[in-house]
Amino acid sequence: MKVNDLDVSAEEIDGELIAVNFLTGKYFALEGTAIEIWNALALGHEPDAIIAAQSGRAGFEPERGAQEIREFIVQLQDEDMFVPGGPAAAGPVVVGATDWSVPLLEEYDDMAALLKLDPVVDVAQVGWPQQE
Amino acid sequence: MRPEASRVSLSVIVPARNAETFIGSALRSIARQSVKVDEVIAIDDGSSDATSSVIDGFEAPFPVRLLRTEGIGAAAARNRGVEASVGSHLAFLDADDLWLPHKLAAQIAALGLASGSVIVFGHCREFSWPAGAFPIRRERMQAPSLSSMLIAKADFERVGPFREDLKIGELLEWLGRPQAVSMERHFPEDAAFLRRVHANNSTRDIVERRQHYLDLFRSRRRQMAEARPSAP
Repeated sequence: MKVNDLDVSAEEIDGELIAVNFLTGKYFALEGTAIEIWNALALGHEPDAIIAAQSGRAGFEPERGAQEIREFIVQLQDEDMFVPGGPAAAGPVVVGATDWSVPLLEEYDDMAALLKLDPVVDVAQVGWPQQE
Repeated sequence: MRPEASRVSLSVIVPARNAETFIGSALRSIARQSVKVDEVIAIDDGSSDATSSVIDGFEAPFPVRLLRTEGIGAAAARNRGVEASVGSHLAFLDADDLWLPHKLAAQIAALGLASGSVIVFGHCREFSWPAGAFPIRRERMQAPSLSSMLIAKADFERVGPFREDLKIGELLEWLGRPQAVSMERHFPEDAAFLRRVHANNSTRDIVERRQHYLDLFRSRRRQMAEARPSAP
């Protein structure tokens, strides 16, 4: 799968990844393992490869950890942050040196109505509104 | 304290830049309001077209004051308008949008329903200019936007002026400040404006605008984290 670049922008600074879905007006914050999984998906890694890479990590309980990763990925898909497609990843999944922690998607929708009114909402990278 | 409608004096702030094609329609939509408007402050922010002439020549049932600024940006232009205003309440209208005639009346009625400080917004519909040239959203949308906003000047000043360094999202940032967060927000059904979708609002740099939003949301999240009481 790949990031839904048409509707979503994301940026990681100082251990915090902010992602905005301009179509729904929601924005999200990710930290720690959540960012690692986001980055791995964005590079084209499959969920199974991500689970396998994380399974050697301190504090990772195989069955529960795998479920936590799958649930997190489903959340990302439900919010249309990732869509099918994109090239397959080359190289290994990058895993952090810290203990495993549950990946969380913090969701904010307090600005959704306001964001919906901005022309940036309905755009692809080619601009908006598109001439018919 | 709920204001009586008769005690509301309205200053309407209209920032404009190269808006000669639209500004006359915007001013007419203010003149057609079903309640009295006390003044319009139109800010021509460094236009190279006839925006100022259209404003100057506009015949209205209220005083129209023209301020000229030199390309300071929409947020700063609005701030200059607020500083110059004398009304008890402020309303804003972008030069390319239009109010429906009952917009202000519905908002003043909503002021009376509030128990404390209140920001009154409304709803909007989009229209393409020229007709059919651009895709529009057909649904009526709740509109927490500047073209719908009405607020007591004292409440606006408590929150403070718009940040003038922001290229986009100045209302979003403003609404996120603690003083604004604590105010009621009303969206009366009958307070409506028409949002014009036209070529000039299609050419902005989308990537840059998205980046501005990412920055804004990042700082907003930090603001909220700092405002949260720390664990004992």
